[in-house]
Amino acid sequence: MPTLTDTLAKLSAAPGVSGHENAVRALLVREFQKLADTVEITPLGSVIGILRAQTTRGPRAARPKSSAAPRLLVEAHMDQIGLIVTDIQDGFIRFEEIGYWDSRVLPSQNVLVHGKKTLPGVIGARPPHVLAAAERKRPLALAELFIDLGLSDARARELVSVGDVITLDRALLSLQNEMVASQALDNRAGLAALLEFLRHMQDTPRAWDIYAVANVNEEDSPLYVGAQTAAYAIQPHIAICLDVTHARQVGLSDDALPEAGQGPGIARGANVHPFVFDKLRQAARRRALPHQITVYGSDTETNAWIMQVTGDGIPTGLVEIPLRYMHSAVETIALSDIARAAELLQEFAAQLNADDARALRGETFVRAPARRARAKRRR
Amino acid sequence: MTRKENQAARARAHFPAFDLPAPSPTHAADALTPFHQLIKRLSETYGPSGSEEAVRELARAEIKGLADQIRVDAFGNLIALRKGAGNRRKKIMVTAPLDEPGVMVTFLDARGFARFGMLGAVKPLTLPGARCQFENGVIGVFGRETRGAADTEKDADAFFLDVGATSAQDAPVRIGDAACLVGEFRAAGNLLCGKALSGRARGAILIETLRRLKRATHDVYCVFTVQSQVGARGAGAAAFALQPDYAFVLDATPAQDFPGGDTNLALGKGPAILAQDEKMIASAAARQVLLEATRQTQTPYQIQAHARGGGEGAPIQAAREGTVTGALGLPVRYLHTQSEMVDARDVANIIEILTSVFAAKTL
Ligand SMILES: [Zn+2]
Repeated sequence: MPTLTDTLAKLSAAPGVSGHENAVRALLVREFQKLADTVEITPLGSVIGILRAQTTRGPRAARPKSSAAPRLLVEAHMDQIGLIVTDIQDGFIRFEEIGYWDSRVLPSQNVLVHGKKTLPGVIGARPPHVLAAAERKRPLALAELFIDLGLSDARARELVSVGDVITLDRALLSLQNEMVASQALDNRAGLAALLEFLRHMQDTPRAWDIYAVANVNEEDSPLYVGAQTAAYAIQPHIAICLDVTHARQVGLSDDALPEAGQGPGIARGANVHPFVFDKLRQAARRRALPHQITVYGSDTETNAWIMQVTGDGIPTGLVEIPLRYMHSAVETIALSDIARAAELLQEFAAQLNADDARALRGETFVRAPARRARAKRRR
Repeated sequence: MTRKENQAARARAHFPAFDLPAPSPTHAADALTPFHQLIKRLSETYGPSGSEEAVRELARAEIKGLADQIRVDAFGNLIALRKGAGNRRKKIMVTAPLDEPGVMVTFLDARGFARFGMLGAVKPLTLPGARCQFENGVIGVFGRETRGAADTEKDADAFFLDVGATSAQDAPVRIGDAACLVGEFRAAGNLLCGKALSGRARGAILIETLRRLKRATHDVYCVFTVQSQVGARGAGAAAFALQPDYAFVLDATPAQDFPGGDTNLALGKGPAILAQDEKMIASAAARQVLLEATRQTQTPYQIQAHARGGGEGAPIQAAREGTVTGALGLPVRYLHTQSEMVDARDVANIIEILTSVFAAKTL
């Protein structure tokens, strides 16, 4: 059994900039193949691992290809924010952001440019000595930054093309107290929880089919195109999003924010179906799992937002890993929050029964009896 | 008399002086090739977003006999299917817009001046002194308030339309009427210039590709979309209905190869294969298909990596289970003005590339 740190280190080392997820996808397909009955890839590249319903405990039996069981979708986005080459000038690489960076942190980073081969580089800028006083006080604009690969113009043009993507060169760093820091823990933390959840489900009896989904294109796409299309394909009865959220930190001490290490956040608000929220909280209480309630008036800025209105509508929930320094090179989380999120989802999935699906899909809707009554009157 | 005829009659009564000048003899249409004449006719046809009928009818007449099926969907998209003969054929969807940027009247004041909203990304800065034309032929002249803050150049509220009226009652236009910009079509060497040209040149590319395509391997759906300028409204509906294996969007890429320009994209250096735009990262598989087609046809290409401009790709990519979507950008200078400028060589190269994709043995 790999440790959580191993899993997370592997996941965060595999590049997967939005729209360019090949490397991290390949890793996930291998992991899903070990843990799911069937693995599928959507036209846009999201990975779906299906674990069929199984009501008895024991070794993995031969399970049917198709199933009439209700469907639980649990997803995490696999993509990360990154950079993209927009121009090559005298051998130096100009770039733009993919996703929403804290661009103040970019100067002086080590990077990997994913050209014909993977090339190490550094993000340079003009030295402070030559800057006017006013310039020294403001953060550097993206247009003032460039990547130095140490290459001549001709060689750079041979190896790098406009449109190639760039990631930071930064391995997972273990801090004290089971905390870790790296780039892309948004949302490799969620992916680690998803894999851990699938591991727990191997010998957990369940009445529902489990659809574990690693989605592309969350960070860049105003349409959350990966999650939308995968959810459309699956048409689940419930969809849960696993993502990160702002944790309390220095300079961000809002009491409403969750604290890293105190358990996953269970979101509540307009984006979360009350039935799903209640079931999640009950699951946490039953297992005595530390958890925190996070509140969103409307948009959670996660895949949950689009999944809720996909197809004919999906009851949606959101489980969150608290994270400090969002969209920087040193996103920091507590490993225990990942472990507890996986346990929470295991308990949630194990408790779902056929009645729950019926309750969510129409049969108890007020609309149905009303229609019958009208029909009778006409007769 | 219908309201339209009535308005047209009033328009003639009011604006004899605003009629378009006859084309000057040095730029006579008969100096153009038949294909460039088609581009000219498309460019000069009225069709702001939501009012695409005339352009659609022109396009429909042009593709008559070139497709196995032609239909118009409920949204107004014109869809032409050319069936493929390959036994491993895929379903390919290609889009080009019918509509063009313009303005819509939102208010008429007591003296007959009109206020307006933008249909698409028209920049107020480009308007003062320019003209627009309504469906009934009425010409309006754009003006700008002279009082008030200095930076009204950015503020659409400071602009108005002079339609030659003296009161709201005798104004030859009504609230809700749409107008396109006025800009004569001109050709100078490889450069083509005119209003609505970026979109209509792309429409002409689809028509010409259908005309030249001898034998398609794949089932090709050419979709002439409505309401592309106001947020790519038509394209998503078409993709949802067609469920293609691959979608290729013909897009417009801002070329800034002019003084003080700030992108590396230029006219005449080949179409741009999009890595991304503001709303979509192009699917890797679709980019590969386009790259392979440039290799096969030995056509030059550029790459647009800036996240700028939201084309029709995003809603297509998001349709149903997701569509593998790529975009080919026609480089355009002065986008969304009455003088959009394109290079005929880029237009020709896109036709080559599309023809190669449609006839490719496998995708
Ligand atoms: Zn994020």
